[in-house]
Amino acid sequence: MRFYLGAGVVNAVEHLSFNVKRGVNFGIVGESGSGKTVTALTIMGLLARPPGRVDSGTISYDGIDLLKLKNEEMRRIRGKRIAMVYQDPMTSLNPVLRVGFQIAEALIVHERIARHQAEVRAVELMESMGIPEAAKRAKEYPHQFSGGMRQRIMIAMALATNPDLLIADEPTTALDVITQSQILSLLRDLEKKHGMTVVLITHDLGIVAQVCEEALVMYAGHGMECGSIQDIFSKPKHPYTIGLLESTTRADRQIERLMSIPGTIPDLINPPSGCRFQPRCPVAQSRCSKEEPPAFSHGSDCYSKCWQSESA
Amino acid sequence: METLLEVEKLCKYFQVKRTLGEMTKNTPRTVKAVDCVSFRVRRGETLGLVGESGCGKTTTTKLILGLLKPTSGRVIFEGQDIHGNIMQSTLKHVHREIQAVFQDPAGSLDPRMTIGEIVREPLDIHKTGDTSFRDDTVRQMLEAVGLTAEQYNRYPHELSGGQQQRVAVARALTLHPKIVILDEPVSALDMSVRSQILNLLKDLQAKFDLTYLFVAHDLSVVRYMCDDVAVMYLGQIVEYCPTQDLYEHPIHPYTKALLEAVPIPDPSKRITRPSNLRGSMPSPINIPTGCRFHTRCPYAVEKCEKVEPELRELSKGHFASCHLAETPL
Repeated sequence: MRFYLGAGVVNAVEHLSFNVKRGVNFGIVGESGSGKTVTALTIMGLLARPPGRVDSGTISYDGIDLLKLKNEEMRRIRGKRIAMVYQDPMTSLNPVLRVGFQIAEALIVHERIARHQAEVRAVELMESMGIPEAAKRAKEYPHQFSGGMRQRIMIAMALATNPDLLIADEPTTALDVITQSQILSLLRDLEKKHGMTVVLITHDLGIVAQVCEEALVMYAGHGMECGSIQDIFSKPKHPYTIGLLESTTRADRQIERLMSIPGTIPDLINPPSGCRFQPRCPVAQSRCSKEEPPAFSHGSDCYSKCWQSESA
Repeated sequence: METLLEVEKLCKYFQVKRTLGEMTKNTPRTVKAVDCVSFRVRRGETLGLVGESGCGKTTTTKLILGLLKPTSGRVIFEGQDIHGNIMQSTLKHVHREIQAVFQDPAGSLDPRMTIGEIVREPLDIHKTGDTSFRDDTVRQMLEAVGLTAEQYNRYPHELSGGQQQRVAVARALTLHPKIVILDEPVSALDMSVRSQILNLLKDLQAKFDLTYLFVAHDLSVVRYMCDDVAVMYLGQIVEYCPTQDLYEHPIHPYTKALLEAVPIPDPSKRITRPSNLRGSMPSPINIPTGCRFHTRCPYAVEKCEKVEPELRELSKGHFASCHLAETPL
């Protein structure tokens, strides 16, 4: 995935591979500029082209290559089979439409259900999201809801057509901690209640640990480590993952001195040569700045993009 | 340890404009942003002030910085009430001693000034030393926060978020203040940069003998940084004690709910049940009667609706305002 900008070409995401299995919640963790949102928007076919362009690769969903689909075909999948919940629930809802109608809209468009029936279904969805007095509140406008309630409406909207895959991009960033925990448990239950798979994008390691079974750690447009949550948190392989975990503050323990990763996130117009983490890596060797490490696999769907993993 | 800064029964009420309809319905017209808050910050220590958005944390810091006048109550710095009868010259001295670092580093640095000018400005305003003294101090400060001499002539937009926050820290320290108010200093920063700034703040505290008031909503960051913690809810402190006590033996149901809701980066420590708090934080215009937390509290009894609990010392140094503090919940 590349962006062609006035200032140069940004390789926003490069050589990225991961698999999301049905029924296994998947987390994408990364800092700003790591390419996690670009990845999600590419899957959804929502990247602005130009300046964005996918130069190579495939996105296979249920055997279909999404990148080869025509706009019309993609529109039938997007919102129906793959839905997305965005970061900021205020700007993603239409301020001049009642929320009940906004939820019903997907049903009217994709399922061709009559409007009044769709609105009845919208109220049911709002109830299942834990919104009190749903029938009354469906007639209200987005500004009449709190942040947490708006996010529940966004999720209800995404669930309206009963998609297989829900991509949630930082769904709790704008919320306070108690509301956040409620939304996270809601997302975790989607698999059980609706048989839906969630791809959760976040910068917070705590959130991934709470909701997902498998995860991908991204840095500067590259997938650094991928594997099960247990492996990533208890046996991290990539120096970046290790650094992140050791530099995270925790509410459940007293830490005398945090480790920290020196330096700052690289500029993607002029990314560092070789491994993109190499300038900040505590165990970098001369090879790391010359050759980009491939993703060394250690088991199915687990990899670490680090030369150290070659010998292991 | 002696007390450096004391806040005593501090209140700040804001008047809100009402429409004619609201006036006839007699809706209240005051927002009680800070309502009778008291705490002490001891020299050389860090006090954490935590709470959700809208609980009055930032208003409290503005009152301490002198950016707002309190409705009542006192802010006592080194024995002087900074909002009371105080001479202009003393007040100017007090302002040198209390400095601040804010959440958004890009928004708190003047985009048209170079890094050097930004860090130097406090010295110019307070007419401290001659030109060479000021140059030296700026250089020392930039070095102390981990910036290089070549960044002296750069502009804020040329730096990353972490570096901008280092500049804001350097600016706060140029006058060698006694206390620094840190208002969400790392919440706008990326994860890998966050711990750099937290460690920097700890190192500078030891080096320059600083006292911090650390305002944050992130309980994990507060645990790392603070010696004591005060938890705020709707303009009041509901629990106040040494950090370890708070995290290991929380008393107030609100503190418990907050701590249970923090996602722990460990898949074996999943939150199994969602928070049992009802609803969301009420508006500070319509503060509930009695205990202001009773509308959301899962344990509330009749007394909680009627009688406002006081902040009581339940064990040594551990204060909480809950009627049911002695009852096992």
